Amino acid sequence: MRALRKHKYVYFMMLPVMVYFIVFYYVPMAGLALAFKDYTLKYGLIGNLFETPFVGFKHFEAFFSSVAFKQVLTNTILLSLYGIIFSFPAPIILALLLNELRVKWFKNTVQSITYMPHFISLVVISGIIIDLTSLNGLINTIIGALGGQKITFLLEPAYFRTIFVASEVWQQVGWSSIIYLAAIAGIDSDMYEAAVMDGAGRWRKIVSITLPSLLPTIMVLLILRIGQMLNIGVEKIILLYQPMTYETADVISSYVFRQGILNLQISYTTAVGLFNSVINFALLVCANRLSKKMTQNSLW
Amino acid sequence: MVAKRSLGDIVFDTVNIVFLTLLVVATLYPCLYVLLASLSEPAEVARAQGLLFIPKKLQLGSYALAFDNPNIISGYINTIVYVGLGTALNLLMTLMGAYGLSRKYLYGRNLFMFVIVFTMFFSGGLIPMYLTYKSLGFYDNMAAMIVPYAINAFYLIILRTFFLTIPDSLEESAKIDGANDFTILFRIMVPLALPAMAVVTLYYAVDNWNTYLRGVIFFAGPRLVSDSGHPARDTDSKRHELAERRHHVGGGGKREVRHDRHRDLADIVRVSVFAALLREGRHDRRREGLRPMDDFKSPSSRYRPVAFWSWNDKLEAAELVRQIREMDEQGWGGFFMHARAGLETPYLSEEWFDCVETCVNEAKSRGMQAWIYDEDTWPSGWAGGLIPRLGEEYREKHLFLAENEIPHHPDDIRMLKIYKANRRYAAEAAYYRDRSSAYRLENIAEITQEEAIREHGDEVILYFYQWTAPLTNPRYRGASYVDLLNPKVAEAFIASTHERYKEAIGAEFGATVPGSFTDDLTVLWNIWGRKKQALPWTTSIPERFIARYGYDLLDCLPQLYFPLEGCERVRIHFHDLVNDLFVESYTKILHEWCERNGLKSTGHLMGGDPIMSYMRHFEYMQVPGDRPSGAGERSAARPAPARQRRLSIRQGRRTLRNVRRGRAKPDDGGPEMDLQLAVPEQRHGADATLVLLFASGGSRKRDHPPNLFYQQPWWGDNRLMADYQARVSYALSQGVRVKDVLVLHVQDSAFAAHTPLRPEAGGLAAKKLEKVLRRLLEARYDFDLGDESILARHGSVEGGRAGGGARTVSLRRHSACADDPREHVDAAGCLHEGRRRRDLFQGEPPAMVDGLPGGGRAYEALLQGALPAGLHHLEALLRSKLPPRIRIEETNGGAAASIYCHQRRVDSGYLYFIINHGRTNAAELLVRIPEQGRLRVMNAENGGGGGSRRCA
Repeated sequence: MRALRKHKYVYFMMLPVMVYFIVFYYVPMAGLALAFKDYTLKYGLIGNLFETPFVGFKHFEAFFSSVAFKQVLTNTILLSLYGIIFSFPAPIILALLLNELRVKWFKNTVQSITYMPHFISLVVISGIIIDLTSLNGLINTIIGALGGQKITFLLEPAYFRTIFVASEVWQQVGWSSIIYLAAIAGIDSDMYEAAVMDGAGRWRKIVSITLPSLLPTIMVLLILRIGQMLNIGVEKIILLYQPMTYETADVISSYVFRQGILNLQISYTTAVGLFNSVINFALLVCANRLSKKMTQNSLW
Repeated sequence: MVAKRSLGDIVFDTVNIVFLTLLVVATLYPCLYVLLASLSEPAEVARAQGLLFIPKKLQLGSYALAFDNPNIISGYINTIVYVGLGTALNLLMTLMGAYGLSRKYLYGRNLFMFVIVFTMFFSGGLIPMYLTYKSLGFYDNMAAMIVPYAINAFYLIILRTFFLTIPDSLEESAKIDGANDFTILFRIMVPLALPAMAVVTLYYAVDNWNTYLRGVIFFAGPRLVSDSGHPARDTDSKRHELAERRHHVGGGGKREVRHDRHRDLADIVRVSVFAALLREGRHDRRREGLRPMDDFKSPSSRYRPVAFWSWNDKLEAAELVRQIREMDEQGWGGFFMHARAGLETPYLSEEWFDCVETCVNEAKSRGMQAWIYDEDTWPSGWAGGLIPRLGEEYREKHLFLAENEIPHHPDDIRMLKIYKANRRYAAEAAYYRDRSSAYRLENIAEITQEEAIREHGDEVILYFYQWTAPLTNPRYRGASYVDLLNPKVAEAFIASTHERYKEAIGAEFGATVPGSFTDDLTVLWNIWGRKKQALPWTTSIPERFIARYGYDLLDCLPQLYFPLEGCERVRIHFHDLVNDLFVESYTKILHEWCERNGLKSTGHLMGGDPIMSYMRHFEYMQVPGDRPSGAGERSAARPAPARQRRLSIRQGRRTLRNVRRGRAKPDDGGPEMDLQLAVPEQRHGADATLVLLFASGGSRKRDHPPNLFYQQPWWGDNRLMADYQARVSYALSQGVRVKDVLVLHVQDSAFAAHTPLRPEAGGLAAKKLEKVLRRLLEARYDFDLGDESILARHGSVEGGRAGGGARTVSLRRHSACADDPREHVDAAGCLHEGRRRRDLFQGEPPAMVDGLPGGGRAYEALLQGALPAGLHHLEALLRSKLPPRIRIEETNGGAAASIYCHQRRVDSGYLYFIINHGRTNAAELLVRIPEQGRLRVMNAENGGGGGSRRCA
C-alpha cells in the first residue's frame, strides 16, 4: 500500500494505457462471442451479446461450406507463402550486399533510396501500380515496344499475386533491411579479423559469420511473419482487387471487410475473423515452438 | 583489407555495385515515371512508345485539375490534422505506458506486459472492433480516426526497452531532489530517450499519414438499409446429358456453330426459379397484389413466345393447321411464316399465299398471331431472286482493293482509282498483327490504267474498284444479293413481297398479322471469301459524299484502307454516310410502308461488322429487333458467344427506349417482348431456340438453329416453358423500366479504326463497350444505350432527362480504343450533350474530335469527373454518385456477378426481376430494397403470387 502511494503517479500514468488496451482490444475480444450468435441490427453491440440467441457453430459451418471459403483461404495462404518465399529473404540479401559495399556514400545513397517507398502511402502505391500496369502504362509500353501483346494486368486474375508480391518487395525491401543491417553492425569485428587470419574469403565470412550471427534476428522475424500468415493487409487488397480478380485476390481480410463492413453480415464475418485469428495464433505458437527447438531462438 | 584485392573480389564488387544501381533505378523510376506522366500532356503519354525521361509537352493542368477538386484540399487538411493530433496523442500515451512498464517497482508489471503483448498476437478482428468503436461513439467523427489508434503495442515495447537501459540512479537522484514521476519522465527520461523517441515519432507519423482503412471503415459507412431481402434459390434441375451437335451453316462461309439444345432448355428451366418481386408502394397496401398483375398466371397470346416457323418442304394446308394447333396447345402465342432451306412450294406463288391465308385464318380462330417474314431464307431484300434480276443497279456492290492483280471478272468491275506505291515492311508489322498486310505505303501516287500495265517491279499497284455481284450465286438461287444502299431496291422489294402479302391477307394487318420481320440485313456480307478487301458501296456514294462533306471521296480511297494522314476523318465520314444511306434507303422506307399499312416492322441486321451502326436502324422499326444476328457466332473463334449475344440483345432493346422517347411510345407489350425479353433474358434463347421446323427430313435436319418442335420427345411438356416465358414477358411489359445510366455507343471510334485489312481493329471498341456494359449489369446498374448520331438529332427531345428523372448520370466512353491512342476519336456533336448533363469520363480524353486531332482540349471543361482507366474506378464513382437502387449479395458472400436485376415502375410500386445468368453457379441471395411497403414474391414458373409480407 505504501508502495502504491509512493508511486501513485506511475499508476496514474498506467491507468489510461491499460484502459485503452482493455477498451480497444479486450472488449472487441468479448465481441467475438457474436460469432456464435445471430446479430441483428435491432440491438447494439451489448444488446446483441446478451439478447440474441446462441446459435453454436452455425456461422462457421456456413463459412466452411461456402464457395468463398476455399477461394479466400487458398488466396490468403498462397499470397502469404509467396510473400515468405520472395519478400522475406529479399531484405536479408540486400543487407548482405550493402554490407559488402566499400564506398560509403554509395551505400548511404542506396539505403536512403530503397527506404523511400516504405514511406509512400499504400493508396499512392496502389495508384502507381494501377498506373504502371494500365494499358498505357510503363509496363505495357515496354511490352508494346518489344512487340508483345498488351495485357490488362489488374483485370487478369493470373497476374494479381505477382503484382501484389512484387510491389511488396519493391516497397519494403529497403526498409526491412535496416534491422538486418543493424544486426550486422552489432557483429563483433574480431570474428572477421580472426577469420581473415585463418584465410577465410569473403564468401566464407558471409556464410560462416554473418549469416549465423543474423540467425536469431531472422528467426524472430520469421516467427512473427508466420504468426501473421493469414493476415494479409486488407488495404492493399481492396485498393487493387476487383470482382474480376476475386478469384485470386480475395483474401480473408478483404472478404471480412466486404461482407462485414459493407454488407453488415456481422455474425458471419466475426466468425470468419475469429477463425482467422485462431489459426494465426496457433501458427505463431507452433512456429515459436519449432524455432525454440531447432535454433534456440524464440519470442518467449 | 584494402591492400590487395583478388580478381574474385573485384568481380564481386563490380557485380554488387551494378546490381544495387539497378535496384536504385528500379526503385526510383516508377515514381519518376508517374511524376513525369503527371507533368505531361495525357494524350502524349499515351502515344509515347518508350520510356519517359523528360515530360512530354510540359503542363501543370493535371495538378490544376486535381486541386480543383475540393476533396483533394480537404483531404490533405484532414490528413495533416490527423498526423498532428494523432501523433501527439500517440506519443503521450506511449511514453506514459513505456515509462510505467519500465519501472521495476511497478506492481503487476508482468501482467500488464502480457496484457499488452497479447494484443499483438490475438485480436477480436475487424468486425468486433468496428462494432465496439462505433458503439463507443467513435464513428463518423475525428476522434474515430485518432483515439482507437492511440497506442501501438510494438512501438511501446521499443520505447520501454530503451527506458530500461537508462540507469535507475538517475531517477533516484531526481526523486531525492523532490521530482515527481511526471517531472522525471518529461525532464529526464524524454531528453535521454530522444533518439528512440524520434524513431517512434517517425513510425507513428508515417502510420497516421498513410492511414486509409480507418477512413474507409469509420467514414464511408454504408447506408444502413434494413434487410428486407428474400433469398432466391436456384435449383439444379436434371441435366440432359446429350452429346453436343455441330451444325454446319450454309451460306456464311465456314461458320460452325456448336449447340447443345437440351442443355439450353435445361438451363432455362434452371434459371426460371428466380422470382419476380413485386414491391407495392406504401399507398397501395389495401389492394395488395391485385390489379397490377391480373394476368400474370396465364398471360394472353400477345405475351407468349412467337416461333420462327420454318416452312421448308412441300407445304400442305392440313399439316400446317395441325402444327398451329400443336403450337397453341403447347403455349406458343404465334409464329413467323418463314421460308427456309428445303422449301419446295414455290416462294411467293399463288400456292404459297394460299398457305399463308390458311395459317392466318387458323391463327385468327385461335387468337394467335401470324407474322410475316419477308424473304425466302435470308438475308432479306432479294425477294427470292426477283430483285437482283431487275438490273445491274439493283445488285449488291462493294468497294474493293486489289493489289497487283484483280481477282474479279472484268465485266463485274468498274475501276475507280489506281495507285502505285512502295511497300515498306517495318515495325508496323506488330501494329497490324497480320503478316499478310503488314506493310506501310510510301510514295503513293495515282496512275492511269496504261501505266499500271507497264509498271511493276518492287512497287505495288493498288486497284480501287466497284464490284457488282454477278447473277451466279447459288446461295441466292442463281441470282445475287441486292444493293440495300439503293432506295430502288427497297421499293421494288416492297412491291414484290409486301404488296403481295397485302393483297392476300391485308384485311388482317394490325390484327392477326401484327407485323413483318426483315432478316439479317447487310451491306457487307461478301460470300466470295475476299471480305477482307471489301467495303460497302453503291454507285451514288461519291456524289453523296461530296455533297455532304465538300471533298471528293475518290481522292481519299487509300485512307479507307491504310493508316495514312487524315484517315480517321475520311473513315468516319465514309462509314457515317454508308450507315445513313443504309437506314434511309432501306429501313426507313420499309418502316414508312409498314406504318401506312398498320404493320409493325421488326427484324435485325446481320452481325459481326463493327462498322455497322445497328442502332440507327432501330429508330425506324416499330418493334426494334433483337441482336444483330450472328454477333456471337461470327466471332466464335473465341468461346462464350452466349454472353456476347446477351449484350447485343440488350443493346437492341435499350435503343428502342432511348430513341423512342418523345416519339412513339415503346410498343405496348406484344410480341416484341417475346422476341426480346422472354427468351433472350434466358440468354441462350435469341433466335436459335425458337425455330420450329415444318419438316425435318433430308438436309433440313441440318438447318442451323436447334429445332424445338413436335419432332422433339419433350415437346409435350413445352407448355411449362412457354408459360414461364409468357409470365416473364407479361411482367416485364408492365410499367416502365427504371434505369439511371445512359451509355453512349462509341460508333465513331470503330469507324475511325476500321480498315478492311485489319477488320478486328474496329471491333475493339465494341469489345470494350461490352465489357463496360457487362460490368454495369453486374453492378446492377440498368442502362440505356445511346447512339451518337441519333442523339445528335433527337437530343433536344431527350433534354436532361435521359434516365427519366433527377437521378441521371450519363456515361461516355470516349477512349474506347484506349490501347491504341491513334484511334481516339469522337464526334463533336456530342459536346452539346455533354453540357446538359454530368458526364463521367473514363480513361483518356479523346485525342480527336470528329476525326481531327486536338480533342483533348475541347473536352477539358468536362474533365471534372475524369477517371483513371480501369473499370473499378468507373464502378466506384458510379456508386458514389448514384447509389444502386437495389443491393444483391449472395448470402455466402459471393460477388453475385451473374445476377442481373431489372427494375420496373408499375402503377402501385416496383417490380424487380432478378435472374441468374450463370450457367454453372447456383446462388442464394440477399436482396435489399430501399423502399418500404409490402413485398410480394411472384413465381414465374407456376404463376403463383407467393406470399406477401410487409417489410420496412
